[in-house]
Amino acid sequence: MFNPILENPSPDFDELIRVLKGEKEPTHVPLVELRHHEDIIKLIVEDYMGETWAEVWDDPDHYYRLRVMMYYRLGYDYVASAKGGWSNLPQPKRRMADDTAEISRGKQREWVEEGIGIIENWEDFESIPWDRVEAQTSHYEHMARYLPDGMKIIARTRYFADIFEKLLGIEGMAYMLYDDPELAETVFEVWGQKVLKHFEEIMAIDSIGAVFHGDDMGHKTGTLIAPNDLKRLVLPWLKKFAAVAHANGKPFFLHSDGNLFRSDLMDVLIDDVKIDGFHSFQDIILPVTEFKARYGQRVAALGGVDIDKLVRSKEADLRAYIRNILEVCMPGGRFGLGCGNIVANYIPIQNYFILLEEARNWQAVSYGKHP
Amino acid sequence: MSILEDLYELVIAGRDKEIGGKVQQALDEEFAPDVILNGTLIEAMREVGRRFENGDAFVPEMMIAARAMRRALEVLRPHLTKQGVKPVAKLVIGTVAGDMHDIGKTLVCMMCEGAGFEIIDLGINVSPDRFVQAIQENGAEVVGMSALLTSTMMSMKTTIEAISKAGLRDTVKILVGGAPVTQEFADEIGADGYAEDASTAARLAREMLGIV
Repeated sequence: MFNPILENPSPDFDELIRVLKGEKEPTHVPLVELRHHEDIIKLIVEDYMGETWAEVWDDPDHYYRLRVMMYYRLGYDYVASAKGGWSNLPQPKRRMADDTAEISRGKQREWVEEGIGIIENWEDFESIPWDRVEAQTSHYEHMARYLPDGMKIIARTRYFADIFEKLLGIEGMAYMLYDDPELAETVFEVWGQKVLKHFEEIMAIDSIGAVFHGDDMGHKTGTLIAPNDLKRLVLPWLKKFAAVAHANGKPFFLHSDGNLFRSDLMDVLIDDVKIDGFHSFQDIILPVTEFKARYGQRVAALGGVDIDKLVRSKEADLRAYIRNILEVCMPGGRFGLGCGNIVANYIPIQNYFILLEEARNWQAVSYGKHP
Repeated sequence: MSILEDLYELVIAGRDKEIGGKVQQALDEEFAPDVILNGTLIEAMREVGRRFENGDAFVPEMMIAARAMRRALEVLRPHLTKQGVKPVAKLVIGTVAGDMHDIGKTLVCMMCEGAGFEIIDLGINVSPDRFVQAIQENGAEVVGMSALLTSTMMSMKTTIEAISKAGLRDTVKILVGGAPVTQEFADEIGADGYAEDASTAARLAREMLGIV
């Protein structure tokens, strides 16, 4: 029976990055996830590692130790950062509903407020104490304390997603781009400066080895706003963020949901913004195998296992599907295996373990390397 | 440009502050309300939908056009009622149980309203029983369901089962959509149609009822 927990992992973050940058051929299957849902982390550390769980607000040291240990013992070369936040920013409305995932253990799921955000007009904008709005970074210090040798943290940042989730709302942003473009542009500018400052702070932290910047720019059939508006309002800031990461010797990975492939957006992200890797794949949009064929000489494909397949496939089909991804994507590096989105709490845990098992089997067969 | 051409352009450009006055002007010049609606406003929304499907218009353009359309309908509706013009059909729509995502559903409402449907928007986190009740209460002919997550989209199946159990399956056309939803899934659960975006949903809803 497959045991996902490794007794003596040997993380090598530097090797991971060399492989993802295409600087060397892989000698094992790199594992890459944007993050794991808290319920998944809790399930693994309790049921498979025999630990006692602690919530971050009850015992932060214990919580962050467990978080690091989970990534370590599963064979990751890094720990995906926990969620940070911003102090002195008014809280946006959130929607809560009963979580339908089996392992949700009676919790509620938090949903994005898609209507209007905290800024609807100039009065709202001016009421925010912008000079005191600051990103929280203490979670990086907590995680760094428990990092084993060879392991790093991958930081998580956002920019456009915060604008349409918190600051303006999706509907609010859509109308404001037409009704009050000056206010919209001001919000993009002010928030860009805030996030840039945050980048300058965290990219200098030694225990942070890379950044996974999460900015959903699209939906199933296209981008949320016109590609030219993304190039005008969003991409210049992503370019600045990536430049800060690179100036500190760290890669800039981009997560974006949605179909970015109907225009030249991906080429601009690769050639101008200079992303080092792209995450979030849905087969109905573009399978990761196709992405690797099109862009694999220029940028890393991260993750790739379609969530719907991960949730609903029969075991044999899922194994065959993952093996095909490995066959196509592993050669040449510039690929890390993982879920097409996050390791969500509605993914059956055994199916997630199949992903890990297939990775280990593949590397044992291909490289003679047993973890 | 003729006044109807003006109206058409105002919808596409999303000029909601001007459109009410222009509709009134068209009425004053004795254009029939159904001509204003079907020949101009709905055609304009159809063009917006085409542009969205072609990747030439995006969520903001769709929303401002729908807002202009809604403003035009506010002025036009009493005249349509007087003329005896009815909506093409009633459409009950909601995001399924456990799911709180509504931007996709909201866009579908906008486009379907723009296509001539009367919309009964049940909101988010809608139980199967609530869908059944709404179909019965409103005599709906089309049901739209939206979901964002693979876990919540399974509620679409239970909702269709509830509709069948209530003896209503043959009275409605069921359309599904959302990020994880595929044609394959729609076929698997017995939906009548799958729409990959809001514009396609509006077009399919009419096609399923045999309305050109």
